[in-house]
Amino acid sequence: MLIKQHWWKFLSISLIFYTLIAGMLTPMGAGVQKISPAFISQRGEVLLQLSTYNSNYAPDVANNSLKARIRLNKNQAIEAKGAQVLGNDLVLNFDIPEGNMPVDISSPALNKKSPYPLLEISSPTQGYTSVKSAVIFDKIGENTQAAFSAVQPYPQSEGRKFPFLNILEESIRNLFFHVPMWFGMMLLLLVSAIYSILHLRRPQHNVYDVKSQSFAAIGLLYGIVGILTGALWARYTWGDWWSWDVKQNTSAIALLIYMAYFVLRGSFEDLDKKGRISAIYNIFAFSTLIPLLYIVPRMVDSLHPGMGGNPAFSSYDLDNNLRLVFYPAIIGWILFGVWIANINARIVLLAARKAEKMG
Amino acid sequence: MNTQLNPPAAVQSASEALMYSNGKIYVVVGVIAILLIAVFYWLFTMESRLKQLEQQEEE
Repeated sequence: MLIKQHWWKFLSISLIFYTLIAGMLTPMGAGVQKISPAFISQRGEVLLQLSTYNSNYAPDVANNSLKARIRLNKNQAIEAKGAQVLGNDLVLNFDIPEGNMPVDISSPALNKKSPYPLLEISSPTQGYTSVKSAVIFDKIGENTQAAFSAVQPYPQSEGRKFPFLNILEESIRNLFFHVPMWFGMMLLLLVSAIYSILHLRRPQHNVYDVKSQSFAAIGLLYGIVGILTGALWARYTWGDWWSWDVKQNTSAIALLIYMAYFVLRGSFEDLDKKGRISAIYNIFAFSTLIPLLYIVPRMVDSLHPGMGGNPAFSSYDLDNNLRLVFYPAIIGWILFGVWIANINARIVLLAARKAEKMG
Repeated sequence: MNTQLNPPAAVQSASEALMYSNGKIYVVVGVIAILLIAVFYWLFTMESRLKQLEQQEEE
């Protein structure tokens, strides 16, 4: 009985619990924080010094099992001739051929930057690591004279590890806490708008009005958490609390629209009027969300993922290990929001019924 | 490679340095803290509303 009716509540808390544990305990893959020199203009032997994070390449270097290369395009690469470990740094030795470098700089998809020159490291103990746009070559173009080595795919890392992305580093785990807030907000506000439509169809019951108000309140709460967590995350990755990024601005506008909804509700004495006018406002408010959060941000350059040439995740980087925590987080927080909104609606309804009885 | 946004050359205070340390893991801690504060804020708001109703009942 308890399980039959409330299973989704158990599911919600279990999923949130799971995302906290898996999100924090899954280790980070080995990563490269900095490469110097970043610009390669000389030919012949070049030493690249890599500041590495969360990795220990010493054993692999000692027994010569470390492999590394700079991929110039899908099929051609410059293989590293040697490697040594210098403190926390890994030094790779490349023999750069004469002439142009056939770097493929065409975008693989709309709004996606070319990953080449792609630095790849394959280590038996540390797994696979890659750095996109790792270095800049002085001359790019066709080169038929030089012999580049053919690309054989490196084995992918085994075990569950999150990808190391520069700038984000460990804060990639915020994906499980910041992003589900926006997904949750969108769904809760959609439910709220649906209850508003139902209220307009049956204005005599105030149940729909109260439900729509409660879902909007939890949706707004999620949005506020989203914007605050986003600001904190942005401070240490994009460099500022507020970068006037298009998605930051449009989501702030969306939150203001929903705050105005509660101001509007508070300004009516007459219950019928309050219900009907705020239901109409709520439907309009929801319909502004689509262009604000899904259309406008896609039209201009943004720091947020999926737009412009930004360093955060794209569909390439959102790998399966991240998805394994990200999707449960979304479901968990949506169910939790629905639960809390329902409890809130019951309290408000109880208060309304009492007020009616007392006259 | 885009690294100019990583720890500014001179990180001023100790708390700033902490946020950048260990691969910025404390940013995640901060985000979870904000999330928890918001959830607790809402739960306690609902509880105080219920309490009001209970008090009205008693009167």
